[in-house]
Amino acid sequence: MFSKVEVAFRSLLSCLQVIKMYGSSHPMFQKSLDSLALAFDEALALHPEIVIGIIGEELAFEKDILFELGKFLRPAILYLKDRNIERFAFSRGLNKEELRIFIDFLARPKEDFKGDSQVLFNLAGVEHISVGKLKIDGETGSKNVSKVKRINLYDSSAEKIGLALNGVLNSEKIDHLALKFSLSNIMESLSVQHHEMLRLATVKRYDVETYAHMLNVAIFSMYFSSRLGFDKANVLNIGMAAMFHDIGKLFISRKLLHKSEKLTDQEFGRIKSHTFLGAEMMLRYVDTLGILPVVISFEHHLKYDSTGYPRLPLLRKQHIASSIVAICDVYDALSQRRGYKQDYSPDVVYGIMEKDRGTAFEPELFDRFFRFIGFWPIGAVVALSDGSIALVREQNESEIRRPIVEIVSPIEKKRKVDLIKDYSLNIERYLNPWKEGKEYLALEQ
Amino acid sequence: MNNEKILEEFFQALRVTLTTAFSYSKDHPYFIKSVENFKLKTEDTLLVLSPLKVGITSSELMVNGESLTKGGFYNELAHLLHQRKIKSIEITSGASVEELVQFFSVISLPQKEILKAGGVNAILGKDKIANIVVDELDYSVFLQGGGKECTDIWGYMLKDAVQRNDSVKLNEVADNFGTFIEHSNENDIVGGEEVPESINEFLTCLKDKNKEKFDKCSREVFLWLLRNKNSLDEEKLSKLKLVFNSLEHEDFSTLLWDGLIHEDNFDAISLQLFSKISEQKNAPKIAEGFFNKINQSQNLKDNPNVVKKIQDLLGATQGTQLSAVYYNTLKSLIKGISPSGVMAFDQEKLKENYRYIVLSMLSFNDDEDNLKLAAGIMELEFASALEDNAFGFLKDLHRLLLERKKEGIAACIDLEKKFSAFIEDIVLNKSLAVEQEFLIEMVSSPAQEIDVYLDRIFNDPEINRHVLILFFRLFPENLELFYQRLAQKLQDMEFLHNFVLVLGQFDAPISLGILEYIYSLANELVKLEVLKVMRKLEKIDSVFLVGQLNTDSFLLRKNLCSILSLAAQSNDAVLNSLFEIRSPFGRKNVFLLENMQIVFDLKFIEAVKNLRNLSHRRFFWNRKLRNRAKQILKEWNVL
Repeated sequence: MFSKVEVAFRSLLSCLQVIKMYGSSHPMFQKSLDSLALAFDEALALHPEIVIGIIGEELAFEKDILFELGKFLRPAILYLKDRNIERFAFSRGLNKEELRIFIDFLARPKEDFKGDSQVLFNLAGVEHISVGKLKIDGETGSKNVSKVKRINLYDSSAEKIGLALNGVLNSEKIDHLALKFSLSNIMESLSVQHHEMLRLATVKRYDVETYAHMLNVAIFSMYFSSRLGFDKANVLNIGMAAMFHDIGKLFISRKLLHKSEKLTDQEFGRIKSHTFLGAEMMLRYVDTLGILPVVISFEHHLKYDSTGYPRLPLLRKQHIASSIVAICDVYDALSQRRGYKQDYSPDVVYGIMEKDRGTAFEPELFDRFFRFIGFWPIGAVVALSDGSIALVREQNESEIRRPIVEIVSPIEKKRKVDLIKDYSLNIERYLNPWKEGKEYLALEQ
Repeated sequence: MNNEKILEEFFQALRVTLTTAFSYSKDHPYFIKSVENFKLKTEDTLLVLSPLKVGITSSELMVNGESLTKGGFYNELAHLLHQRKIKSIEITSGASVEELVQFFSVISLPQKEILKAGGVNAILGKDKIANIVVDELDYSVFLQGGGKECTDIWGYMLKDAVQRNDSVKLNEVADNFGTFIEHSNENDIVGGEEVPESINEFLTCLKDKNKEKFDKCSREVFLWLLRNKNSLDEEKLSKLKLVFNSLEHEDFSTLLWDGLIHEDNFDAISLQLFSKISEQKNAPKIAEGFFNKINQSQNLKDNPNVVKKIQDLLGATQGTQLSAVYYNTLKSLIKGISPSGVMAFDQEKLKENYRYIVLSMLSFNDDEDNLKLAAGIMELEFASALEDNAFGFLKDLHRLLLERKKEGIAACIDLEKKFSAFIEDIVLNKSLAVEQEFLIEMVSSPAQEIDVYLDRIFNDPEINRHVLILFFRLFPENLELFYQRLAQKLQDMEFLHNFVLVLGQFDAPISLGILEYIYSLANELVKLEVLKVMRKLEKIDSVFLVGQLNTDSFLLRKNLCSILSLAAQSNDAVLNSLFEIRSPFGRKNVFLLENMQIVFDLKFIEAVKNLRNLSHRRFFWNRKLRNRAKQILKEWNVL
């Protein structure tokens, strides 16, 4: 079923090449158009609507990013992106004439792509094709994304997550392509400049953003899974699923927190059942988001030794993706300032989590997480043993407590120090970025 | 003359003129003559077709929007013109012999020369020809679009880029190199000597100018080779070796890593191919570079997919001809990494967990809407669970559905029906493996009519045991219909033979009844098959078998006795049937002698008493009988 869509898209790009080469009056084009129409007939017989998105340099259809197809068609994808086309939707009823107009339009020189393409289509009588940009800020994962752009990317992604989570909470259709686009950009940024993105996740949690936790868990999970060697598609899927891991809790809290009366025992029980509920909610989105959000929503409190919840007789051992998200969830939650608790310093966070190593967390996975993320996270403000203040810049995976830091105060001492090469210095303590660390944090920006 | 004929003659003249243009100089009389002839044919054609415009693709010629078909003739001509970057030719009336001479002189130039000069029009531009318009292909458009149609000329494009020694051009081709090669098959690459040579020259040139792109292109050509490994024979491979001439041992080290990383199916053949293309270089040095590269920059433990590939590779190559150098290097690389120590994203486990979560939802939910949702999702999992051989899950699912059915949960009652119909459909229309047979028990009621089953049983070229089992399970009350159909097949020896064999494969009480039915109506050969099958059944029907002992057939009696010997309680009845026979004047003595032979062959020692009786029979006509009985008793030492 899936391959029919691939065939249709391949035919579309091949038809585009033929028209560029032979022109629209050449019989070769007619032939190619015939095959294209046939391919779409077959694909649309299986799907009432086919929406294909260009995410980064990849193609996306429903819940999958077509990494393999994207690899073969990259020049053509870039050609389309160049013309501001990032999303196509084809619906049933599509005819050959509409395809001809569409291909003819695509083959025009780049300079002709001004104004609203959709309006042009409508004027030309094309009713079953729509094209456009994905509704995001136009950020790409290009290697030269500036720091400011990355912050924007983070903020816009948090906003996108907010929209998506609200969509799910209201059982509405969500723009999964736009969401994937955001996460794909973050994934690209992680591969190019992971320091920057991790730093944002560390620092941004201090903003009281409702959905920052979800985004942070997604960022940490993607980084962690990519460092574990998972392939791109799985990393992206884990990121997507991580964003929805607590959807059940959001749903319950939204309903119950607004209740003025005392909660009943049943209502308390419901709060605990947020994993079950979340999975049930995500079940409605399997078509577009895949099965991982269901599994992670359900399993993220299950624990490595299966002593968590939900405790149901039919359950299996936690999947590694759920274990990854569980670690990142706890890590970010402990690090975050919340209404009911102070934010903990990284050493305290590590200490708390280490107690659960081997019970809640798979030991090997736990060790690797801190090897990759670091004991002192990137961007943390720390006081060194000589009284100077430094920012953590890079991790040393062989010794997680001794990262590479940059001394920022006093200014005359400003330099980078690799703490596994210089044992005369130690990290004494962490400076809370809301209190004594605040002024140094500004130096980071 | 009809238009088709006129057109055919026009193209024949075109072909002839091109051939003479290839062979003779511009002023040679033969060439001039053929041009003059072509001019005449053109004029004839223009009378019926004006303007005369010929479209050209890599394999076709087109006139007036229609492809011309005449076997290889047009194809060959199209290919020849396409290779010269010609997209279409338009000839208008008034084309002079001089113009045509000029035109043919240019298009008959070697392809390389045309490409080098920038195309046909660039050459023709110097000499004006007003009545012939040549439209050319723009390969730079190809480059942008990554079209597959340029695979036939990209060898030249590589060469051209090298000869121009232009960095921009080289980079442009290098950027599109992957797309070119992706669209090429082994014939495009190693069909001749030229392309491997061009790639080699291109890589050599790129190596000096842009190492990063050199690495990229080398990787792309290597990955192409790996993907085509099954269609490359020794001869093709030796041509391909040339492609990698410019690579040093450190480049090969990188290539090996690239292969492991990027190629999902990097197996023993892949490694053997790698050894072959790099055999001119020092293998231990390549292996050492590869080892150091990974140890320095890659934490292999964090690349579970690669570790798994290496483990599979080593597992598969034990005892093969694989170079010991690579074998040992790979082995040392994964030393200390146990398969369980590798963190991998297990898709199978993900599916398993997902299915059990949905199962939990069916199990612990009371909300009707949610139950319906879970049931709908679960229905989609039937096929993939079966495909994944998730038998434990299917059993749990079935158990749960029966439980929930008892509780009267509508969504589960409906789902159980669908599950039953799903299995029924597999049995009827696909096939079940032996280990999947337990599924038959999960079909609770038929979704298909009885005739569908009967048609499958009696009309299919091969009898499907599972259909038969399911039929007996689901339609025990309708056996008369079954026997009616069976009666119609009693003359079909081949069917009966196969049918009996299939019945022997399952030990159901009902199969015994059918075997007896067939036995009573079939010929001796089929009867013998039936008996063979009955012998293997757990239970025998001794009353039926004893009843068959009065047959004249020695073989049948012997086989019947052989089965009956397994049931001691029927001994008396058997012996009575064999020996308590009146034989006035020895009329039945042959029969008795045969029966003696049967008990002797079967070592049916319980027959001693009967044999003694026979050994005492009086009268001369019983002499043989007495002697044979005594002989057997003597053999058994009971005389």
